[in-house]
Amino acid sequence: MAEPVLSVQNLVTRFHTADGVVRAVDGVSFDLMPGGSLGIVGESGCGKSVTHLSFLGLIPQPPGKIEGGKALFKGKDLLAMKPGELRKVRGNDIAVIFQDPMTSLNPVLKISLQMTEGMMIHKGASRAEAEARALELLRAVGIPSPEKRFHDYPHQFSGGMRQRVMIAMALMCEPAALIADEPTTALDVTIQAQILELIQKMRKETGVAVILITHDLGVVASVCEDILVMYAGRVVESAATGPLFARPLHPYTFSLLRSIPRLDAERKERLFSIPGLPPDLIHNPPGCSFNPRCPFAVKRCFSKEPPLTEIGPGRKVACWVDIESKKERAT
Amino acid sequence: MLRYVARRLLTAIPVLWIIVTITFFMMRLAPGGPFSRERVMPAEVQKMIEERYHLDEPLVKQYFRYMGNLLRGDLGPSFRYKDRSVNEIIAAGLPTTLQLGSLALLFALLVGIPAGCLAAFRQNSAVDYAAMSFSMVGVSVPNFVVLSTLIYFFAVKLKILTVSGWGRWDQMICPVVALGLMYSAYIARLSRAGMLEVIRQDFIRTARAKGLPERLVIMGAAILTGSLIIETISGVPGIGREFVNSALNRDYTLTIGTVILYSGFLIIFNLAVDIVYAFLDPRIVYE
Ligand SMILES: Nc1ncnc2c1ncn2[C@@H]1O[C@H](COP(=O)(O)OP(=O)(O)OP(=O)(O)O)[C@@H](O)[C@H]1O
Ligand SMILES: [Mg+2]
Repeated sequence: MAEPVLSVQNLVTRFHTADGVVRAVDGVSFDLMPGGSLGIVGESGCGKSVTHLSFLGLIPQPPGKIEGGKALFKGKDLLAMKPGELRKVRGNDIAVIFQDPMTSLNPVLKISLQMTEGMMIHKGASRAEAEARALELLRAVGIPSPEKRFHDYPHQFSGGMRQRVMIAMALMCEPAALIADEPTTALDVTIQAQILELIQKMRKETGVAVILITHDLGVVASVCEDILVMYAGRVVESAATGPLFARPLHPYTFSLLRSIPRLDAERKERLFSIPGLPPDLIHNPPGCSFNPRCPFAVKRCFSKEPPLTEIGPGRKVACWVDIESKKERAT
Repeated sequence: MLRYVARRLLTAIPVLWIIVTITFFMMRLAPGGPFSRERVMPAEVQKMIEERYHLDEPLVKQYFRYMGNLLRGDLGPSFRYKDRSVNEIIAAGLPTTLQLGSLALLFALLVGIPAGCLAAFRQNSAVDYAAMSFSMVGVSVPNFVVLSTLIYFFAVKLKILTVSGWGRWDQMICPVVALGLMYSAYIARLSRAGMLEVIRQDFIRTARAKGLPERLVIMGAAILTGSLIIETISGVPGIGREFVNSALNRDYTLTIGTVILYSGFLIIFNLAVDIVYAFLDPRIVYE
């Protein structure tokens, strides 16, 4: 089997704030295969962004602190790298697209400069080379007559166009991995679909491995081969997309799936929503962090945190209960 | 852009006219006059002086006389300094004031902006605390105290600078630094606040995620911060304020002359600031 491009193992990141220690990422592990696509799903605040910001060296330190784990990129641990080394990986080997294209581009610099500066720095490319590549990518992501728009400023583009520019910019250095952190959340629904399609297309054309972060299971379903479900800083379930949708194993995944609107559902049914709120990550009660909202919880769920366990080929879940039989799993 | 500048300059004319008119009448309405002293003057002398300066005419007539002269560029005779016109007084003082003012501002920008930016990037570090305490001192200590301290050490004790005078660099350093220090303290605080606002924005994270060296990340932030600072810098007080002392002397013509000059400066300065602002921030478009 091929080596993963990126292998995150037991990542722990905490924020030491005045209110207490925020356990933002609490032992997250995953593998991203070359050319693969992994979706990370979870409610707002569950640690999706902090996960990738941690191994890219982008969390503010202090208050943030990476307290454990490894993040192997092509076998080298990103967490052990000096800031200078890690900087050479960012944007060059691993690129990121952020949520809000309206604010993610510098308003006072031309698109041409913002797109080309990374390639000139990482690859030592000349301005002409970088501009040629940028124009080629702008065309590929569907910016009409890019030569005309190239020297415009970000505010002269619409939101969807800016996100296309962000995608083109991320691909400038031919990265091995692309992290898209809620790339469609700030966009209109029709534009969302176009952007997802574009990410798919660029993945097929360039072979870049994609991590797609979202709180919308519907989004990952169409794009990702594998899915990681996060809750309160931990991975609660991981599986290939098909099996996960067909047969969710964690009560949280189960509830998430029930809360997706379906076209074939009866009209009179109200859309399901998960009762309660996600826990704050400072005061962790004992046991499983989903227990206050879980319809399947048994006694053990309130005393002991379930570990992420492999229970079938390619399927991992962190739950004491087998939700199909509603019985406690044998351990 | 040119049309915008022309329009701004045209609108400045009625503004100046209103300023002159208000100043003119306010000066006359205030109790006391240029020649009222403790010592009582003989009535004839008083009358002669008033005639000479047309103070015996009705106020409205005085006003039109003054405005007529003003249109010809004549600011009138000084009431205080006998035999000198306001034009002469201003012409004598202006170059020095302008030099002092602009050198002090230059010094302030060169010291204040880097200090403020550094403090923002090393927020809550020793550098930050040092820069901010220093600027607190700069804002609160009056500049004549700074000036005398500088002169005492560098001119009297160490004898590397000159105590007074203007024109050679060793005479200029002390006053420029003394005046500039106060502005720089202001500008440092402004830049720090502006920079902190800017570096919290998403595009700074994007710049880091692209793997840009910190130097370039800071530069990207600094341009936007620059436009924030420019936006507020027109509020830095005191540029040319030393002119207005003559108001206390009841020297009617000199006061109005300096007020006109000061207002003209402010108008041009603000216009320049707006133009630089548009230059730094492409989202600003004037038409
Ligand atoms: N600088 C910080 N200081 C303190 N706590 C932080 C900081 N950054 C993030 N956190 C905390 O870390 C937790 C995880 O945040 P994260 O941004 O990863 O959530 P997320 O899953 O990406 O949510 P969203 O869907 O809203 O983007 C949150 O509870 C947040 O409050
Ligand atoms: Mg996030």
